[in-house]
Amino acid sequence: MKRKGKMRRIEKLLIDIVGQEHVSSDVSDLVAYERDDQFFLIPPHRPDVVVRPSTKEEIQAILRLANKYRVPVVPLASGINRKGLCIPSKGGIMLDLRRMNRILEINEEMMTATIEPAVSFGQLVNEVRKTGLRVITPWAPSTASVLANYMLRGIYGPATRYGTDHLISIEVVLPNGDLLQTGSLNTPTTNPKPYCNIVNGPDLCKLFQANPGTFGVLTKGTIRLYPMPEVMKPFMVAYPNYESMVKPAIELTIKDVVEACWTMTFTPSSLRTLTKGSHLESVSVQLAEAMGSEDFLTMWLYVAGERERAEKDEEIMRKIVAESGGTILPLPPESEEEMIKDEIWERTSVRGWKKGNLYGCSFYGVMKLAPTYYRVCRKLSFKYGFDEFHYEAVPVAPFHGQLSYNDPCILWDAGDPEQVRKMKKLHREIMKALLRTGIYGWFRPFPGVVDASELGKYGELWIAVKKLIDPNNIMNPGKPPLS
Amino acid sequence: MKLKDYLKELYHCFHCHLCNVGNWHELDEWVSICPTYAYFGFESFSAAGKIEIGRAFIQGKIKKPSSRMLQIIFGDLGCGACHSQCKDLTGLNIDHVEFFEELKTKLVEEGYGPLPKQADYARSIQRNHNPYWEKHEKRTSWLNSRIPKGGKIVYFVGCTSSYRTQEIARATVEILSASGVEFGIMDGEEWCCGSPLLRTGQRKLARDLAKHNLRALKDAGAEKVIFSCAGCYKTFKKDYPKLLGRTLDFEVLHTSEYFWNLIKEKKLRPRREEGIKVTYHDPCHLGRGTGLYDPPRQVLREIFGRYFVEMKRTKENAWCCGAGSGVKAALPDFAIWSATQRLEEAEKTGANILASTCPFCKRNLEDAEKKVKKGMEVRDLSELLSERLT
Ligand code: SF4
Ligand code: SF4
Repeated sequence: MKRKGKMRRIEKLLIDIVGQEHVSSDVSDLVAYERDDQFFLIPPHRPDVVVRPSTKEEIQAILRLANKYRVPVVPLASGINRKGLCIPSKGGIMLDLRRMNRILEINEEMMTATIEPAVSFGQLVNEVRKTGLRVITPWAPSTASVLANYMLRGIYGPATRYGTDHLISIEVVLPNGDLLQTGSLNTPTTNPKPYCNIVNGPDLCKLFQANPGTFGVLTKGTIRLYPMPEVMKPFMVAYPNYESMVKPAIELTIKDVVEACWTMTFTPSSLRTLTKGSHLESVSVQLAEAMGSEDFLTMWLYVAGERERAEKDEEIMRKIVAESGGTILPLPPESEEEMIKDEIWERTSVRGWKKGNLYGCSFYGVMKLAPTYYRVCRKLSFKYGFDEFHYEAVPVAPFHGQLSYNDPCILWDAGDPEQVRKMKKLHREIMKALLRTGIYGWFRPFPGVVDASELGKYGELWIAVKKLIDPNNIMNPGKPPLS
Repeated sequence: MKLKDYLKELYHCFHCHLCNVGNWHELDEWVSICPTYAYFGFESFSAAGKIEIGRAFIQGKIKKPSSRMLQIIFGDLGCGACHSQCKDLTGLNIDHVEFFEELKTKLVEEGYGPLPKQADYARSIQRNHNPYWEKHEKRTSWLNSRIPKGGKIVYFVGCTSSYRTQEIARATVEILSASGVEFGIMDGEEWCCGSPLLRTGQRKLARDLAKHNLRALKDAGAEKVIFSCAGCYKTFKKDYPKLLGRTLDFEVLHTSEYFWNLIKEKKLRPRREEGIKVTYHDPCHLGRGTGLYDPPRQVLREIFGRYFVEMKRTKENAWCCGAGSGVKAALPDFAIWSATQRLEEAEKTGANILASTCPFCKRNLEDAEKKVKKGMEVRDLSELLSERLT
């Protein structure tokens, strides 16, 4: 009762800040946020109230209020709450930022864009294309927020050439309502600009990255744009085993002849499901039949750049592929077109959910170890009866340490309680097995995956920093570093 | 499928929000596609939000729906744009429109909803067999010539063209007469098809209407029934067989496909029109609802040739006019807003005429035009054709 009274008072104060039409505590507005696709690991929980601010001043006022009354705040940028990151496990205020979807600047000369948090990749690509520049888009639908994705370091189609670091500077409202800007905007000069991050001391933008709304609320950010290549050509190469695919992947990355290099494996059943309804459906069905119980191993490559360079790159790529025993597969024109569109502004990656749900346990590891990671995860997946298994490993720039993004994916059905039960166990086993095998670490600070208390001194410091910035633990409580 | 049977499948919505945006690979542009989400903004008004509301209701997590929930659910347009985006890419195997209708039906059964105006037109249907509180005896007041009753080919006029957009009924009759086809109408035996009821969860009364209409058409000896209303057409074609658990004894045709057949058979020879630019709005019930995209376009191309131009959002990616599922009656401001978006899109093509194939779309688009005065002529395909008969 006490809590209810407090929340009612807070709702009134929120209405004073943003207006009645942007606040709701009606259960029908709240249930939409209570669950995401990871509900089997992160139990559903509703916020007490949802508020939709449209300016940084409103966000400052909201955080001051929340901090005063010690009420949790969960920021949500474009609404694709995934893997438990935006589940308001302790209730409180759902800060839905979708009204903050303004593209503030596209600067062709500086090759940057300054945007608000709810600007989606699709929205940005739509505008940036007009300038001849390009946004680096993730292997996720373009409905995702650019800043949320860059803040949490996504995996991008062309990560092999462009890496994962596309954020220059940010503006963030701290839990006490103060406003912080990172990078060159702080330089005491006439008319400071947001285009540089490596000045004046440590890059504080990085401090806020990979903290899932636990350190503050982003209100804008400046990102890097890149030239749109004159030529873009996708290739699908088949290999007899993972080892034979890894060597050329490493060579292609070091020689920088492709912008994207995705080494992938598919069990026959996963191939069928993933290509259902796509241009590749009939080819895949034939392929799956021919495979028997063997996995289909393929490397997706994109040659891209100025025409002359792309032609040279293609020549080198073909040589490396031939020498490694790969077979370049003929691509139907529709598939080629779709692959190019996906590389520029992505839509079809959601096919991973064709079975209903997609389990992933993405991590960074050593590229040469990808075959081992793959075998370990595949074996466990089959042990629990999940035969729709798919694996991907991508060399990521800069490639020092043979940096590779890895993702063991399982297509499954979370509508089946028996599968849910098994999946919970499998998740723990996969994590343990991968740590035993030797990985760099987990892709993102997902709850149920990253636990700061297991990270030694680093974890302690991370928690201490969180406490310093957010002493009342109002920002997205229950998420790393404080689970 | 019963509402509770959807539960397992609803877990497969993973909030990707592809259903809020048109297919950008195909359109090469980033454009909204869900009118309720675009207008109201809250997650709950998106398809994903409505799915979560449905899930919570089935699970008993929402016991007594609030008036806000009723506004969200009964304010849904049932336009199906979300389904057209979701169905090929994701693993959510539901027909969103059917699910929303099932949810509405269950709510009504349990004594919640529909919205007051939607309940009001149901009362009118019960009393007058039309949702407009018009006298049933006046159903054929639009007629300016004598048409036989019944026969092998029957033109089912529908309530909106009988009482509100009578020019569509007259144009349809003119075209059918010009083609030399022998046809009849149902006079007083034609009752509301039940579409406004089905779309708002009022299924019981809709079933009674279906039974009446099918009996009357059978008695009239109908072998082919033609509809100028996209809503009536979808209701007969898709809903009646489900509602009554049997196939219909006659063929169901929309005027656009019937007209196109008549043109191909040279029974109609429309005059070519040069210089007037026309664009076409896909009614949701006709396009996404039944998959009829091409015949209206073929007729328009036949008349306007290269002056027929497409809007950005067409066919599966079409933007709803905002009138359907009792929304025009219940939430008129939102309905006009949605239609205004469409007018603006039509204007961008440089068209002088915005054509459609549904009296309800015409009415809402026309109301919006009166309000925003874009200078766009909103016409039904039948009018455009009847004015150009040779
Ligand atoms: S309804 Fe379909 S497209 Fe929309 S969020 Fe759910 S899964 Fe994605
Ligand atoms: S049916 Fe139309 S209005 Fe309703 S959620 Fe789907 S796209 Fe939106």
